[in-house]
Amino acid sequence: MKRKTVSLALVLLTVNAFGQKHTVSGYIWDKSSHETLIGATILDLPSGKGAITNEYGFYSLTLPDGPVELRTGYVGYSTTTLSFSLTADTVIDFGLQTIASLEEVTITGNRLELGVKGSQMSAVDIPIEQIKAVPAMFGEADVLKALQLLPGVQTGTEATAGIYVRGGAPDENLLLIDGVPVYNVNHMFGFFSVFNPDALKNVTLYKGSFPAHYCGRLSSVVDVRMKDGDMQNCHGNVSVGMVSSKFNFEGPIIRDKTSFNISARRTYSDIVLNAALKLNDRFKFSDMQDDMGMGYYFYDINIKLNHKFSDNDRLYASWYSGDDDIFFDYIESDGELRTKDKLDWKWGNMVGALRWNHICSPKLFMDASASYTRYRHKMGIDVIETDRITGTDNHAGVAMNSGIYDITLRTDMHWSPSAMHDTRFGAYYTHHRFNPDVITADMEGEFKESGDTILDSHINYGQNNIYADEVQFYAEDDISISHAIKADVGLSWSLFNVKGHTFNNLEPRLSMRFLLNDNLSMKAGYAYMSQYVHLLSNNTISLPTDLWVPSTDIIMPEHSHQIAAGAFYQIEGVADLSLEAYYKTEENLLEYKEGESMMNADDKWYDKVAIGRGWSYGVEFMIQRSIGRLNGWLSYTWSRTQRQFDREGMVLNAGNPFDAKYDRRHEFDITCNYSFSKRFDMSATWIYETGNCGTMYTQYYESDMPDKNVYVSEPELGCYGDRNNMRLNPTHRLDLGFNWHRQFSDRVRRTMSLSIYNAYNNRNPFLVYVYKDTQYDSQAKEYVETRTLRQLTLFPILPSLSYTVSF
Amino acid sequence: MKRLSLILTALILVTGCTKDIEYRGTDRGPIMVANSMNRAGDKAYVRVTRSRYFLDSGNPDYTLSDAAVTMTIGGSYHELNYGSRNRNYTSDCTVKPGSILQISAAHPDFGQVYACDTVPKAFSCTVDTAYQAFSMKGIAIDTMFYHGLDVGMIDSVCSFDFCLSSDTGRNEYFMIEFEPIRRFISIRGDTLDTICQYLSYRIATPTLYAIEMIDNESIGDFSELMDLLPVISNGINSFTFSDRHLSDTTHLVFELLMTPVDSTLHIIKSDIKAKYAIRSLSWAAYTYQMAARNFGNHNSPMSEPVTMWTNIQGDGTGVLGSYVEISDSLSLREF
Repeated sequence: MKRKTVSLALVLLTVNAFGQKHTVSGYIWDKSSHETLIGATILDLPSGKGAITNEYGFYSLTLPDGPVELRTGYVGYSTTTLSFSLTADTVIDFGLQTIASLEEVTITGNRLELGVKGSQMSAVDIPIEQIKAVPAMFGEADVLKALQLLPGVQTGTEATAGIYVRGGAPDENLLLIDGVPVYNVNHMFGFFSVFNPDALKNVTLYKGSFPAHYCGRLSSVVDVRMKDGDMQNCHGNVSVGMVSSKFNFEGPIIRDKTSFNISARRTYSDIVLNAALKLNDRFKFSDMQDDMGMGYYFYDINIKLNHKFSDNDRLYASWYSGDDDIFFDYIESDGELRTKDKLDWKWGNMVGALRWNHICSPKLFMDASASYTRYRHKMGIDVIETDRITGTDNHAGVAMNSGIYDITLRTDMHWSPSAMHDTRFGAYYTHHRFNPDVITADMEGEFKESGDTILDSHINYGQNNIYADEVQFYAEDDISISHAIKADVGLSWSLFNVKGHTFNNLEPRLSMRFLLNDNLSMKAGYAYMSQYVHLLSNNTISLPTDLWVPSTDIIMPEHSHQIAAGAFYQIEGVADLSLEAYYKTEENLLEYKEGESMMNADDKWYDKVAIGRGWSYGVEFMIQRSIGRLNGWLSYTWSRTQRQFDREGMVLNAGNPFDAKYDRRHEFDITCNYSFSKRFDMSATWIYETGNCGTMYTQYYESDMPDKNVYVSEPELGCYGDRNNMRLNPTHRLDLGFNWHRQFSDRVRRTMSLSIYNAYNNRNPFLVYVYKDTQYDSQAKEYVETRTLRQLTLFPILPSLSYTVSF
Repeated sequence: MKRLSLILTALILVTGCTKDIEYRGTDRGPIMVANSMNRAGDKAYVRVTRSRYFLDSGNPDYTLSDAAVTMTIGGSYHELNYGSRNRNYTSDCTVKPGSILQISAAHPDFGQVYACDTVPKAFSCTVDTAYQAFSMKGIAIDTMFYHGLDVGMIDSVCSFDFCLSSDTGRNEYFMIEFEPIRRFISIRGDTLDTICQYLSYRIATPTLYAIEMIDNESIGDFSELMDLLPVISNGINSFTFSDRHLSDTTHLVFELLMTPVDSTLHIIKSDIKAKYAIRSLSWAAYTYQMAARNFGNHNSPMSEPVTMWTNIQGDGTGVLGSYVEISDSLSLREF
């Protein structure tokens, strides 16, 4: 085995001269960039004891005094071995080098603690490079769409980025960016997610057996970590696509001390549309029109700063901001009056975190953070009338606002008292501010055109802010009971206070591994989860108007129990196989009562929802190959998800169980990347999934009353039978991606990418509706209405090009 | 390469984004529909039809004329007879305020349905009318109801101030209906005064738009205000709402705006009457109407469907509702 030298200084610290055991601790990072590696392993070969780096690349391993031979490992990187005699607590930072023989495509692979030897199950780590390689619609690589290709993760409506994990609804996913929740992960009504892969280092999905330090959602945790920034060299890339352009730039501010990473992207359909409007007079609404603009765009900005105060102290500042904006501006002049009509519909997230990592002792690592996250939606309609002679402005405007705002203080301690124990404990406090719906009207001045005289006024209505406080304490221990048996045991206690009501839950977690041989293990896990926030939505796609609301004394927190068991097998150097089965129950799920809808969420929203339960079970199979010219994964999921609402006054579907909307029975995905040479590689994804469910009224009747005095606004009313009584056609699709690379110099490389979405042009269902047409029947001499069931396909074959320059 | 691009372009163009498909889900089959909306003082009736398959075309009559329909009105049992002229099953007995209604309809092909409803009690409502003239140039500043609203050129306003007497011990539901003339509605009352200073609606028929104004940044129950949005049907405006924010002293002020154009003057000279009706609805009548509105608002393939509410039990649907009505008319010439 090729031995590598340790990249950084070896520092010996004597802490306890009389102890028989001492601790080796430090960071493991990428040798060239000093980017810390999450989930890298370090193993003492003589004793067989080992440790794994945490989210910040830190490890701690306590061993008996005497000769040790440490070997580090991280898939896609060369191993490093170091031998010495342990006589005192020792700090060693390892710099690992990517494997030189895999220059064409080096994929860093699945974290080892999630594989055969780790105690964690129901978790998958997808390397960012693999996410970027997955062919994508419009060439926009997308984290959540890559996660949809994993077993147990189902898609929402076609081409949207929503994920439904083991039967859970979209609001049951805890999506974290650098440990801070993101409440709305969608751009463009869900067709893209907010995660820009260029800014990211690592994505881990937990579907069950959740570690105790995660809480607050029932079904999944998506832990996304941003890149810290290269401590050694400046580099970046610029990419121009058909829908958006983006750049990523990172490097040291002070070498080995401070680094930055900044990424941004923006779509430009609005720029193209506005240019067309200005160049063509046919788009003029009237002769008095002075100017007009309209369009849609979204943008993302990710910034991360990383400063190393000392070997024991680091400070991270990370910030994300992203908005979607639909706008319309129209200006016209009529004599002395100039009128401007303006619509601005904007929604987006902002996330900021300040994080301090401190090594308290070789065995104890502290991560303390203060963070802020907000999602807000705002729609504003304004009319400004300007008297061009006097210069006075009259203004009338209406704005609709909603959102959720969190401030969190959190401390996590990572304690490794011995090689047998890897312990975490900590607490956090979150102050929530829910802003369900507020409408504001502002008016001032005198509108001459309409002849109205208006007094200045400022009017608000809607609901006041709702404040809530959430606290969680947790402790967990990853215990190596014997060589064969390992268990991650955890307990979390959470409290949620809203409007004088306090809820608390004790949430046990367990994940166990039985190692049958070095390549085969069996695992089992259990997790109890609670959720105190709910997303109100009555739409089949994600809309920015969907509202987050807290639990109340009537709407109790949601709970879930999940058990899972599985077998994990590793074909050394070839692939990892996993087979898992799970059963999950959920309580206090929400649906609208029959006849109700959420036109606006007021303080009586809880009167409009029914409370029920659900259960889901399934089997998941996956083969993943993370290295080599050919890499990718194949997955198959069989699952069933049902709901039942039979409480008095809250009965749905006559109290009978029904299939959940995204109950897709079969899901089969193949994702593969192949590198032909340094200059050309390609990727392909093929998916097949059972159609999702929908409720179609199959009978209808005229609402016309003989007594015309009480009107029913709809002339025709439908009779629904069973809820979710139909299934859309299955979805299957082949996506292809081709990348041509060219090295211009040692530092500059360009990549031309061609993506073909839905390559064989299958008409996948986006939605189904009843199409009504009226035609004249010449024989009957009357107009006759005909009805057909019609399926809308949103995206046929869709090729797209992008051009990237890396430097 | 050129040929390939031409083929690709042709593929995209030829590909239609929609296609007709067959329905392969479950269908519950046709069911009986019983609709009965009874006004106190009138004879009770029921219309019995059947539903049709959602892809059926044409306009056939689906009335079930051979059903056995019975009704219990205030404890008195009646068999209803079918009348082919109005296609209703009608009773000889009149509906009384506060009485309990029960219907049962049986048909050999569709089984039996039944329902129960309580007719609202009689209620009182005083109506004060007023008139205010303006200059031809527009609205006087002190007409506070109209601030911020584009009312156009009006020269006079006649207002109808309804003072509803609401029983605080139970929930009540009301509907106020007017003729389709440009008008405002505003609500003032003790309870609402503490919630909002005033609320104004503008309705311009045949199209509707509404502006709500609440002063003082005070916060109300928005859904309740939304209930007040008018329902337009057959050119007649009606406002349906519950009494959640009404008290004995609550006033509902409707205002008819006279425009200075000749046609309006002609109407006034012609002694056209402004007809209005105040109805106290049973809970079933109110809920059915609100549910129908929700059904329409969300009857889109992009939305989760809203199941239509019904109080018909058994294998059927429809509604059994009732109301008590006070109606009158006001001659515009009186102003």
